[in-house]
Amino acid sequence: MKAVLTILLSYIASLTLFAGPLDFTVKVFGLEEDFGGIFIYTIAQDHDGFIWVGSDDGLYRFDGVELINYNKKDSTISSLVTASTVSTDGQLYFGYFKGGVSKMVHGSYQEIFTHEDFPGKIVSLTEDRFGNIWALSQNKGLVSISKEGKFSQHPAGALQGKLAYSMVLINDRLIIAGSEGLSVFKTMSGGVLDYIGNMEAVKSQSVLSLLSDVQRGMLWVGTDGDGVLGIPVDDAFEKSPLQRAASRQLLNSQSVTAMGEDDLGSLWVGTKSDGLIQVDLNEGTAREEKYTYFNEDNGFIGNEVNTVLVDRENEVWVGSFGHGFAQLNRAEFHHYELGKRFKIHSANGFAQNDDFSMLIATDQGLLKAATPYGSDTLVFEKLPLRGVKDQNTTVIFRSENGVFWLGTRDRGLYWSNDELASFQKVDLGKVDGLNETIRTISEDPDGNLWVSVVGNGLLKLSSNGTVLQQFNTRNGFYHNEIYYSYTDSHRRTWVAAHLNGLAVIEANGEIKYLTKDNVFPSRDVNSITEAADGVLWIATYGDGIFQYVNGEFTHLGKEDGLLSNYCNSVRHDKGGNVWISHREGLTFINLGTSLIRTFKHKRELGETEIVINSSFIDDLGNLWFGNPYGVTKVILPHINFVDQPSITHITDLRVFFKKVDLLMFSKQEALDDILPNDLNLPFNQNHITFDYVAINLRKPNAVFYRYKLNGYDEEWSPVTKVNEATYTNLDPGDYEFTVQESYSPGYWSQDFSSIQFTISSPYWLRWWFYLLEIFFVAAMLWVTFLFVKKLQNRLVTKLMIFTAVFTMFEFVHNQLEPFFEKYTQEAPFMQVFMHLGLALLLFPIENSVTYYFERKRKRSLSLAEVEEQKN
Amino acid sequence: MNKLTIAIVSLAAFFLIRPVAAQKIPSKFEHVEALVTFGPEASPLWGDDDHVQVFFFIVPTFFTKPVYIRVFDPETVGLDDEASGEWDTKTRFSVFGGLATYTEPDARKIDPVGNFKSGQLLATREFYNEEQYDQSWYSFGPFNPLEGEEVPELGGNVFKVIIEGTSGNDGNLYHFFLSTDSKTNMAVEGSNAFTYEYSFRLPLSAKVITHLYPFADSKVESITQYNFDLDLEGEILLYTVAKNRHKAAGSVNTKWAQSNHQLVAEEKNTTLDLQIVKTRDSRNDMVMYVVNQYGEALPFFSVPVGGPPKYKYKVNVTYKKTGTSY
Repeated sequence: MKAVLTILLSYIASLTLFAGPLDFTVKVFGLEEDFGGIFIYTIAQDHDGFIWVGSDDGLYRFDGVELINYNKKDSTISSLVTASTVSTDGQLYFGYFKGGVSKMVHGSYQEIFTHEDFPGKIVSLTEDRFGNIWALSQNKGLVSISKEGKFSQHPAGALQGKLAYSMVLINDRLIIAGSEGLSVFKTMSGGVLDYIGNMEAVKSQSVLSLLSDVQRGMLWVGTDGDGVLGIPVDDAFEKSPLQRAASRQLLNSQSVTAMGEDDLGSLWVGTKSDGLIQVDLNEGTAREEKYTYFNEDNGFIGNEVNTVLVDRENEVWVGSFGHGFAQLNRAEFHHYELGKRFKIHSANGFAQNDDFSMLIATDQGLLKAATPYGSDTLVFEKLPLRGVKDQNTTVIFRSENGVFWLGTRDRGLYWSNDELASFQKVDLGKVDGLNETIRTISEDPDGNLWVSVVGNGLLKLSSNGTVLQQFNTRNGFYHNEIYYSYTDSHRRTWVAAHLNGLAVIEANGEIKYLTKDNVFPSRDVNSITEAADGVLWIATYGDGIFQYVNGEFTHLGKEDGLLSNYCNSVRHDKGGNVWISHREGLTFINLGTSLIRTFKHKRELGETEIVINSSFIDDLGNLWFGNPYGVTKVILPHINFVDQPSITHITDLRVFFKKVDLLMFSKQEALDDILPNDLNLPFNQNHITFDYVAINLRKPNAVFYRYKLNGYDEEWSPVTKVNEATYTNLDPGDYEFTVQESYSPGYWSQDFSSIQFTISSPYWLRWWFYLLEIFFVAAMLWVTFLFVKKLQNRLVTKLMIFTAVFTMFEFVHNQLEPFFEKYTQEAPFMQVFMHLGLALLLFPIENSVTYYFERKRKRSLSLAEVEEQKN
Repeated sequence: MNKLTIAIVSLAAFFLIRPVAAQKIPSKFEHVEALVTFGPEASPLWGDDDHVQVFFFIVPTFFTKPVYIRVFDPETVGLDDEASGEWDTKTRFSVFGGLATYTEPDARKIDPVGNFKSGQLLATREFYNEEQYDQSWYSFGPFNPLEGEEVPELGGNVFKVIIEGTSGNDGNLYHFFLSTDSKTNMAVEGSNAFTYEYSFRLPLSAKVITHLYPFADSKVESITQYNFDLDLEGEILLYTVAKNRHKAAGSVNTKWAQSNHQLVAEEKNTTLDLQIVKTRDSRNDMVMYVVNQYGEALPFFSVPVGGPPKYKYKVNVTYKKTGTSY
């Protein structure tokens, strides 16, 4: 019975080993994202950064925010888009299951040839150096498409009776993978194809996928059942490609359907039925390849991978066969909890052990963190410290000569030159106090060590551990509590202390007390680092951070965006950007954009408190911070936290919130780029919404926007993350909508995207209508004059004059009103005053005119009477 | 055994024992030993007339997951295959989909002539005496069901598998399974398979009845069944909803035999049941097909459409006039 239980428990325990890939999150696109595809055939990224996905549900375009199904916009697109490529001039080509190829022209699709012309499933598209596009069909040969769009078929006798799956062009050689190995053709100008032969490296083995790896000079061959073969593309390949043998084999026994490479040294391998595999090639190191598996066992979308794309931001896009489409998003942080297992209360320091592992000094001893072969899981173990009488370690340091230096809480400094097998105590000479507590260790370019000992200042040791010099109050140094020391590229050793602040020991031995001499304003300094550009960063405890450039200190504090003025450490990553740790989290300063980001939530960091000066960059560029109960990894910050410059695309212009055919308002015959720039909208189509997006596929929510409608807005809009802007009731006129993107609300470049358009005037604002109005008013005045001269009825006279004068004044009023509004704005009180003024003006004029005509008439009557009397 | 042990064993059984999928081709209804294709150099004595077999697989329209066409024992070596001297036979399996896969008239003919390889070639592989595939499964796919040809009257998308003996003279015996998984047989719900000319091995034992299920559509007035190389090792009987044990002609060695059978109205749009009752224990491979009055082949469905036919007995009742009417 016990045996049965043991077996069952072992089985259950073995299941727990299937931990998911640690450094990635998988975003699956489904119906919630308006994506209906299940079978994904092809993924491409165009020059603007849009991702195009060919699926069983049609062709989709993704901009990081929205997925648009192009089949709904263009019925000419076949439902099964099976191949795609982007030409050097930025045009997208698509091939279809039924056969046929089309390309995007002016925002719509133009058929180059149809399935009736060539009824073969198109499996691959590529462009040669002559600008011809080659379409590979699964079993009917090739079709070449010239720049002019003319196509010609190449039955390619060598492919007859075989299935073709993929192709790549290496220089002018077209290599086609198929059911019977690799066929090599030579492409020539004019779309001419010449068969060279079959590659011996693969013989008649079925090959499903190919990847030309320019970075490594390798042709990766994905076989059906024998994994990935690497064939060097070198001089030998150039001379005789058919004879070039494979020099590398990965993932034996896998059927490899798709491959992609990133800029971080990884090959991404899609398999027929075992999911996606990241192969960290670890080139240039002694490490073996590291494999990370993404499959149904660890929650991946599916095991049948059909296509893989690594985009320009190193995001990985995976098209599965039957399970949809997913994006692998690199996680930014990973926290390893060590408190429960190792009972630690402080992870104090780090050091690189070898290519495979890292060391962590903790209050419970020295831990080793290693990645076992073929896994991405970090495994921690406690190392025995032979010869060390104190397990409470404060610092671990590996000097350039390969010696490990271990600082302890109570028993001073130890060193090991036998790969940690044993430690020897380092004689630090006479030390004040009961305990020898080592706080920090650093190394200068000469190989000397700088060791700070609590209560005993700073010691300079030779590379073999001999004390060369002591800096403490007994020999005139400014303080005995040294928190950090750092020797910069000018061989100046900067010393951080509490209360007495910053000092620097010049290369010639001269000591300058910068805080004491009021050169440096802060009294409590914790950490110092020198960035790649030579700028020195000084972290203080309470006064934020200081940059030291050209002899001047510049301050950044909480008011500038730092999480806190209490800084525990400062580090720069491989990208040169600065990381500051605090008790409450992390601050990140992007030196390129001056963007400052803070991270203070447990859900992202795992543990927010970071131990003073417990930070480290490993060989790969990951940044590590020590917490009280574990360690936190900032995953590849030089990749993950560098925002690629992007431009904003104005993707649509909607009228009254509805999508309209913009060609109705343009003289263009087709849509160029994304939107036409000669839009002329009728006056009553003046409720306009602009859709725009800056493509950031990794972090679409990190983009800020601001916009301005020239001709309407005086200022930029408030900063927003919303991807649309709406303007209502626009007056006739010329406008330019401009929009900018930024990763920091406080940082805006001079670049912007824009679209110009015109709201046309209504007929009553046209010049001819003005003339007509003037003519009408003049005619009315003239008619009034003629009638009034003859009319006897005073009331009618008065009414006609009033009407004519009122019409004239209303006309003038309407013309003047916009100018008045400029000064009166829309204040009702001012409007009333203006109308009153006109009315008061109208009244005496009307009276005067009436009086004039009455007098004239009376005078006429008087004259008539006089004439009568005379007669 | 105490309760805990029983619980543990039950739990283990629940996780470890997978249900055996039943969608094998030939199906459990047919009692066919295996499908057979001989190499082109094999004599007709072995029972294969043309060394080609064509099977169609229907994936229902509503099914949207990837499918695999799995072949059991696709190579020609070892157990379950018919040796003729050295194992020197190669057999090519090719999967077709897309337009004209089924609708091309040549694809539905008895003989592999003309454009019978119509449609898009989706996958192909030639097997020879590869021992690693002996008694094991090979999976073609995955295939998107939409890559088959959409045939509304069959209610789904149709894939075609052509099995050709390309060299040698041995017999390749194999099975199919239309599966949703590449590594195990997981049935595609609602799927079916059919062929127009059936090359198969009869059950080894005597008295085991093989059932073949041709479907007679509404235009079928009469059928003619053809069989090759039965070697008179049994008798062929026709059962329908209106026919009970109608005898059909059986063939002798390397010869074709045929017999014609008129159908009545109630037999239209029904499945017929051609039963071959073996009378000897032997290894016997044969070929069979059925045509209608126009010479058009009728499909043999692996899973009989509407189920196997059941003869409807008619009770001949006559009323005896016994009295006078009033």
